[in-house]
Amino acid sequence: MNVKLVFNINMHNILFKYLLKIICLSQIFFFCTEVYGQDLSQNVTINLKGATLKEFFKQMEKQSSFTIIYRDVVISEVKDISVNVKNKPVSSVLEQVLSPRGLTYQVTNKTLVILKSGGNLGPQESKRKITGRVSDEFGEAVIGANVFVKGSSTGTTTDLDGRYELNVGNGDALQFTFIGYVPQEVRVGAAPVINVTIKEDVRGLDEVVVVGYGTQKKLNVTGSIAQISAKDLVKAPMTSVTNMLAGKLPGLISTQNSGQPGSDQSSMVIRGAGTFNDSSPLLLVDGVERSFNAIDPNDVESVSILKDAASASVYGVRAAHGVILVKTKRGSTDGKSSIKYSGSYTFSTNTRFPKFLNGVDYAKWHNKARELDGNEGYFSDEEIDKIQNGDPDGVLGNTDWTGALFKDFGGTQQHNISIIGGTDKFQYFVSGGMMDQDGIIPNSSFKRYNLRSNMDVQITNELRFSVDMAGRNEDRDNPGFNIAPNNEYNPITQAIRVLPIIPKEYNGLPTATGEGASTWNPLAGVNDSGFSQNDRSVFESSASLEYKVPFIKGLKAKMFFSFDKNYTETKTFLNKYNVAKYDPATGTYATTQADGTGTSSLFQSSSSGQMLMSRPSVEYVNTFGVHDLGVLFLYEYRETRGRSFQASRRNFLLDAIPELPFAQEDTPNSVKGGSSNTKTAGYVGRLNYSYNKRYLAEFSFRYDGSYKFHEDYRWGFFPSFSAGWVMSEESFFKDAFPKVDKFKIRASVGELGRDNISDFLYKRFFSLTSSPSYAFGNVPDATYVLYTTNSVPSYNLTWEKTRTVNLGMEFVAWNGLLSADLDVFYKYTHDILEKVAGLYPPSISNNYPTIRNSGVVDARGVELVLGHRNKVGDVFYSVNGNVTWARNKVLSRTQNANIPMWKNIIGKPIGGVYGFHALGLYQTEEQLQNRPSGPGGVQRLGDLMYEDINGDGKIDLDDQIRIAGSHTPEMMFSLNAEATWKGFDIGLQFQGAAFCDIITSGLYPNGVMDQTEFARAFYGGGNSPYYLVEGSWTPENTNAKYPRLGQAWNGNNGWTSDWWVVDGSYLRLKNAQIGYSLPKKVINRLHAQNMRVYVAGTNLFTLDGLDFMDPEMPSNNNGYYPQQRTYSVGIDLTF
Amino acid sequence: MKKILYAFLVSLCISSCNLEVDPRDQYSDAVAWQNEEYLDLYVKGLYAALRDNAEIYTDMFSDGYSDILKYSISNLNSSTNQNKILQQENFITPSNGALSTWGNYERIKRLNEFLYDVDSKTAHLDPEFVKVRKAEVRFLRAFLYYKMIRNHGGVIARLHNSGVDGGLDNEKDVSKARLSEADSWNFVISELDAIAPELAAKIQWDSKNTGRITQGAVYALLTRCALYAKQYDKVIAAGNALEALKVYELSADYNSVFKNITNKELILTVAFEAPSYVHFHDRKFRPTGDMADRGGWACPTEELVGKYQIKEGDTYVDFNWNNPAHKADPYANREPRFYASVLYNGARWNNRTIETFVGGKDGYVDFDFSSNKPACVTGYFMKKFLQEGNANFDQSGSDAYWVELRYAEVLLNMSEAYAQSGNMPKAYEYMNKVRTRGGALSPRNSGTNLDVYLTYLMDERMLELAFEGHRYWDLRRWRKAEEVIDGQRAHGIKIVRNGTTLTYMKVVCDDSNRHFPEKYYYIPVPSSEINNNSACEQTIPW
Repeated sequence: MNVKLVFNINMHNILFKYLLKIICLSQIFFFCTEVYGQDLSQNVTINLKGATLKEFFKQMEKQSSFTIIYRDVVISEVKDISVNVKNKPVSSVLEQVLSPRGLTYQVTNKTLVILKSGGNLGPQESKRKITGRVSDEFGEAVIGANVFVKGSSTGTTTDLDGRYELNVGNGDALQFTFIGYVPQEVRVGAAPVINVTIKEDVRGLDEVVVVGYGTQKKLNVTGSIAQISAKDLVKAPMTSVTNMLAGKLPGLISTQNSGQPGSDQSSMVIRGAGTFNDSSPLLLVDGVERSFNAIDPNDVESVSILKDAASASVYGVRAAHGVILVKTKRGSTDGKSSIKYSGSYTFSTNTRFPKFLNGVDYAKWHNKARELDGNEGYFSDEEIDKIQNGDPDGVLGNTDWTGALFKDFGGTQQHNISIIGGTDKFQYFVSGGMMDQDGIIPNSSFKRYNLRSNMDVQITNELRFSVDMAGRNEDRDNPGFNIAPNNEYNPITQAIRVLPIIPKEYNGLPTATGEGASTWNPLAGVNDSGFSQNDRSVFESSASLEYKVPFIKGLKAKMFFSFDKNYTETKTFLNKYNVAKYDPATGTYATTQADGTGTSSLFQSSSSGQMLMSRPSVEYVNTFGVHDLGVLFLYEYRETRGRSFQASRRNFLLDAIPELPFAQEDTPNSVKGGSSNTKTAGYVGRLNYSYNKRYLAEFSFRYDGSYKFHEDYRWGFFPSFSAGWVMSEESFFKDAFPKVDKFKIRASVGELGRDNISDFLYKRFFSLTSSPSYAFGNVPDATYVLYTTNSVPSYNLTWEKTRTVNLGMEFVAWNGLLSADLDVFYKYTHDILEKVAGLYPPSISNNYPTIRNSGVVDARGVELVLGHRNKVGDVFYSVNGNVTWARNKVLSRTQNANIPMWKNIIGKPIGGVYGFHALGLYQTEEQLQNRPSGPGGVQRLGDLMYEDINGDGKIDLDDQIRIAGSHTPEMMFSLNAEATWKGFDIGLQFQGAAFCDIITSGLYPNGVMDQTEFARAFYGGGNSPYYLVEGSWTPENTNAKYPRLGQAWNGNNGWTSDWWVVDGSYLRLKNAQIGYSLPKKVINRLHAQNMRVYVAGTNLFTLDGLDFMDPEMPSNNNGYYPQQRTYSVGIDLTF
Repeated sequence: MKKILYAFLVSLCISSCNLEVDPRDQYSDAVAWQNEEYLDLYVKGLYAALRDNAEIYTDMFSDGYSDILKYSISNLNSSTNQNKILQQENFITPSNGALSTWGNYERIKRLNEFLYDVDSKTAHLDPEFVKVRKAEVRFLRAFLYYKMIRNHGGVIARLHNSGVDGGLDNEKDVSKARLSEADSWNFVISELDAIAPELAAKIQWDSKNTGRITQGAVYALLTRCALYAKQYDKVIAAGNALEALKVYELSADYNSVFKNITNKELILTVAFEAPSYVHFHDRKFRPTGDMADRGGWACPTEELVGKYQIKEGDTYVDFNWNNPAHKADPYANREPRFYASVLYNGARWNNRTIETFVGGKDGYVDFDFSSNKPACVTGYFMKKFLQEGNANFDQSGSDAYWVELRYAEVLLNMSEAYAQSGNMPKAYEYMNKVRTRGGALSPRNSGTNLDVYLTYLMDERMLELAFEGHRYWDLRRWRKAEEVIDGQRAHGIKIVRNGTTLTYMKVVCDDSNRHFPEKYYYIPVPSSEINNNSACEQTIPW
C-alpha cells in the first residue's frame, strides 16, 4: 500500500522523512498480523510457570488473532499451568493445555470457545448459527461490541465490520452492549440473521469529564464544567488550540487579535473580566500549569473549563478567574494498536483589508485635500497623466503597495503521525508532528516540530507507573522591522503610508516616501530590514507511580512529579539600507538611509525557565450499596526558576555576518541579565458522596501558600460546597415525564483566590541606577547611585478573593431530540489589589502603604447550551447552539473624591473608555461662532464638534465621559450544525460576539490621542483607503461619516470621542467543512481502518458594523496584522 | 516499600513547605548600610535633590518669570510655563502646580528615611564618616525646605522623627498644621547652624568629590536663607565664618566662573558628565542659527542688556539708546559680564557671527503667544551656560555645570545685610568687591541713603547673578515684583539690516500685559494637601 502525499512537502525535512519511515514500518507489521491471523496454524511462543488458566488464555489472545470465550465452563483459579513452547501452532498448544483438564475448544470465526470435553457445540440440535451486524445510528459498524446470550457466558465481540457469529439455542435472547450505548436485547426467532442498531446513550451515563486532579462521571458532577473532546475540537486545521475553542465552550470568551504566524493565539477569559487586574484563567496541561497555545492540536484528548468555585476550588489561590484543563491522549487497553496520519494544507488570506488609493486617485484626492486647506495641490495635470500613463523618466509611477506587500495567500502545512495502543499491562500514545505556517506577508513564518509520548505500565496488580514526555520546537521568523500594531516601521504600516505615485524602484534603489525623516517602502521594509528570530524549545515531562493499597478496596496512593524546561533565544538584526526618497512637494528623489535602521544593530537574548512540581496524593473511592463515596487528599509543591541574558552591538561595516563579534561597537547599557525564583504549595481535599446515584454532594478545599505574600499572610483557605439532584432517576419523575431522559439540577458556592500581584511587595529594596545619575569631582565623573525603589512595604497584602454562586440544570429529552444545559452565576470579587492615590496629602509623600486590597467587582451571567440531534433516513444531523453572557460592574475602586458624576466608574463595567461626546460635524458658520473653546486643534466646517458636558464654556478633560465599553465582548454565541450521510459529513460553525466596542481612533499606548490611517485621510502624510476619502466631509459631501478632508494635521478630530466608536458585535462563519470517509470495503483493501478526506474553511464570512476591517482587530491599530480567512484540504488516515 | 514511600512523602512535605524566596534582581535594604563604600553610593543618590533644583537641568529658568529673560514658547510642557504665568491672569491656582515646590516632600521623605535609619544601622562604621554623611543629608533637607518656604511661606515640618510612631510621618500623621513663615525660616537656619560644625573636617573635599557639601556651602546657604528671613546678623555672622575659612576668592575673570569647576569662587555646583550623564541646555537654549529647529527657548530682554554699562574713554557709564554714540555701536565696549552672559547681533560664536537681525541666521521674530516655535524674540540669547565648542549637543547633550552657591553671591548677601543693619560703609565695601572685580568697573560711591544703595544693589544682583535663579525671588523678597512685572511688557531689540546698515529698534516683545497680583508673593498650597490634611490652612488670600 502506498500513501501518496498530495502536498508539496519539503523532502529535506529530516523529521518528516522519519515519520514516513514509521508509516512504512507499521504497514509491514500490519501485513504480518493479517496474513497469519486467520487459522489455528499460526505460531505462538508461550512461557508460563504456575499461571492460572485465565492468564494462559490472555497470552494466547495476545499472540494470536483469536478472542477466547468460555461457555458453561468453570475456569479454575488454580495456578497450575506451566507451558514452555516456542513457535508452536495454536492448535497444538491448546491441545497440550486443555485436554489434561477435561476441556476442549471450538473455532467460530475468530473466536475460540472453550468447552467441556465432549461438549461439542456443532452437533447439538438445539443450537444454530446466528450471524448479524451491529451498527450505530449512522449505519457505521460498531467494532468490538459485546454480543452475549442472556444468562450465560456464551458470547463474542464484533469484528472490524461490526459482524458477529454465535451459536444459540431457540428461545435464547441476545444482549448487545457497548460502552456509551444503550444496551439492547433481541429474542432469537426463526431468522438466521439478526442485525441490530444500537443507540448512543443520550444520558451520558458513562460520559466522563476531566475535573481538577482527576475525572468524574458527568452525571455525578455538581460544579459548572464545560468540556470538549478531540472529535469536536479538531474540525478544521488550526495551528493553535486556543483558536479552536472559540464558540465551542459555553463560558469562554475569546478574541483573536492578530493573524501573525506564531502570535495569532486567542486571548481567553472565562465568564468575562472579574477584576481590573489580570483576568486570565489558570491553564493546565495534564495537571501541570503549562501554556497550551503551542501544543499540537492532534495531541489533545479533551479541553475542560472549570467555571465555578466548586469545580475550581482545588486550584485555590490561582483559580479565581477559572481554569482550563487540557488532557492529552493516552494509550488503550484493548490490545489493539492503530496508527493515524493527519495532514493538511491551508491557504490563508486576509479576512479584510481596506483598499488604498491608487496613484491617480491619490493625486486627485490629495490635491482636493490641499485645496480644502487653502493650499495649492502638489500634482499638476501633467503629473497625473504621468502617473496614469507612465513616466518616461521613471520618476512617477502607480504602485499598489498593499497588493505588492501581501502575498496572494499564505500557506500552512501540518502533519501528524500518532500511534495509539496497548494492552492492560502497557499502554502508549506516541505522536510526532510538524507545522509550517507561512504568513501573508513575506519573511513572516512560524514552524513547529513536536513529539509526545505518554506511557502507562501496570507493573504489578498494585503498582502502576506512567511517564509522559513531550518536546517541541517553535521557530518564529519575522523581518527586522517588527510587525506589531503601533510599531512605527511595521511593514504593514509602511504599506499603508507610502504614496502610490512612485514606481517600486528608482535608479536601482527601492523608492520611498515619508514625512520628516521617515522613509516608507514596505517591500524594502520586509526584505531588506534584517530579521527577527524567536526560537523556543520546550520540554515537558511527568512521571507518576500509583499504588493500590491491598486489603482496602478503593484506596490508592500516588506520587506525581513533573519537570518542565524551556529555552528561548531571540536574535534581531536591524539592517540599514538605502532608499531613494521622493518628495512630492518638489518632485525629486534623494538617496537616504532608511529611517529607523540606525547603524545596523544586532540584539540577542536568551532566557530559560524550569518548573519542578511534586504531588503526593491519596484517593479513596468505594461503593457501599447505594452510597458512593470518594475522598481525595493531596499536597502540591511547585517551584520555578528563570534566567535571562541579553546583549546588543551595533554599527556593522559589513552586514554579511550578523553576529555580535562582527559589529564595531557595543550598544550602551545593552548587556543585561536576570534570574527569578518562585515557590507555591497547597493542600487539597475533596469529598464527594452520592446516594442512590440521585443525590450528589461534594465538598472541596485548598489550603494554599504563595511566596508572593509575607509569611504572616501567606496561606489561605479556599472552600467550596456543591450539591446536585438527578431528578430523572426518581420514579415519580419518570412517571410524570417519561420522555425526559435526563434532568439534573445542581448548585454550588465557594471562594477562590488570585495571586496576580507583583512579587515582594512586603520587602524594601534598593536599586543601583541603571545609568550614572550624579557627577562629582574636579573632572566631573558621573557615578551610579543607590536609591530606594519602593514605598512603604505592605506586609498585609493578600490575594483577591472571588465568591461564586452557580446554579445549573442539565436536560435531555425525546431520546436526544432536545438537550439543554443552563448555568447562571454570580461572582463577587473583593480584596482586589489597587493603588491608593489621592487619599493622602502630598506632604507625607508616599509614606503609607500605596497598594491595598480594596477593589470590589461583581459579575453575573448565564450560559445556555441547546442541542438537537436526529436521524432522517440516512442522514444523521445535530444542531448545537450556545450563548454566554457575563456582565461585570465595579463596586469599589479608589478614585479621586472630587470626580465629577459623569466620570465616576463605580457601578460601571470594567474597561470603559473615556472621551468626548461628539455632537456631529460643524455644518454652519453659526455653529463655529458659538463653539466652546478647546480642546485643541483648529475647528472648521466639517470638523468634529464636541459637547461641553459641564457647561463651563471650554472643552477640557473634565468633559470626557464614558463613551465606549470594553473591547472584550460581554456575549459570545455560536451555532454548530453537523450532518452525515453515508460517507459524507458536513459541519458548519457560526460564531459571534456582542456587547463590545471598537475604537478606530483614539488613545495610543504612549498616551497620545490621535487618529489612525483608518480614520483620517492622509494620516501621517500617508496614503488613504478609498472608503475614507470618499466618506470624508467636503463641501460637496456634508452628510459625511468622517470629518473634513484635509492634508494638514488637525488635532481637533484626533481626540478620543464617541464619533469613532463602532459596535464590535459580529457574527461569522467560523468554520465549515465537508469530509468524505471512504467506504469500509475500499478501506479494508488498503488495510486501513479509516480514511477521511476533507476541505475546510475558517472565518469564511462575517457580518458586523465594521465594514473594512476585521471586528476582532485591536483598537488603535496602525498596521496590525490582519486576521486570516483560511481554506484547507486535509486527510486523516488510520491503520 | 510502603515505609519508604511514606517517609519520602513526609520528608518532601516538610522540606518544601518553606516558601520564602529572596529576589534575585534587587538589593535588600541591608545593602546600603553594609559598608562605607555602599553607604556613600546611597548618600550620593540623595544628591538628586540638588540636581532636580538645577535650572540648567530642568530647563525652568526662573528668571523667565521676571523682567530679564523672556521665553519664546508657551505650550511645550510645564518647563515652559513662564509666559502662561506672566500672561494668563489666573494661571496659578491651588490645583495647578505651577511654581509650587510642594513636591519637594517626596525627596524630603527619602532624606528622612536615611536620617531615621542612620543612627541604628551604622554602629559598625566609622563615626566620623557617618557624621559627615548625616550632615550632608541634613543640608539637602534644609535646602529643599528653604525652596519651599521661599515659594509658599510656612511649611509643614515633616521630619525623620516627627511621626506619632517616632519615625517618619505616615498615614497616622496626616493632619498637621503649617509652621509660621518665621518659624519655618528658624527651623532651616537652626538646622544649618547645627550642621556647620559637623562639617568642620570638610572645608574642602578631595578632588574626586568636588560638588559635595562643604562647611562653606552651609555658611553660604545660611547667608541666603537668613537674608530671606531678614535675620541680618545671621547673614553677616555666617558670611564672616565663610570668609574665615579662607578657601574662596573672587575670580578676576567673570566668565571663568562658569567654565572652570575648580574656580575658587565656586562654593556649590551641580556637575554633569558627557556622554553618560547630561542635560540638554545647548539643544534648547543655543542661538537658533546653530541648528534647525533647535535652541532659542528663552532670550534675555533689553531690561537686562540695557543695564550693562558701556565704556566711554576709560570709564564705564550707563548705556543709553538715546545716545547716538551708544546707538551707533551698541554692543561694543560693554562691561565684561555682558560678554560672558549674553549673545547679541555681531557676537563671535562658534566660528561664526551671530545674526539676530530680521532675516538673519538667528533672526529676530515677533513673539506670538499661540506660536509654539522657539525663536529669537528679543534680539539676544543666553550665553552663560552654553558650551561653545559642543559640536554634538543635539545627540549627546551638554555637561556644563550649574552654579548653586558662589562667593560673589555671599558678598552681595552680606552687603545687603550690612546695609539693612545700618552699616553703609561695609555694605558698599562688600558690593564693590563684586562690582570691581578684574578692575573694569568703577566702585559705587558710598552714601548713607538706603534707597539709593538698594537701587545699586538690585542692579548689581541682576547683572552679577543673571540666569542663576535669583532675580524673580529677589523681586519678591524686596516686594518689588508688582512694580517691575505687573502691567509691564518686556522689551527687545529688533534690528533691520539694509545693505550694511543696521537699524536698531527697541520693541515691546510681549503681546499682552504681564501679571503679578499681590497674592503671587505666596504660591498657594496645593489643593491635594488642603483637601486631605484638615489641619493645614491655605495661605490668605488663596
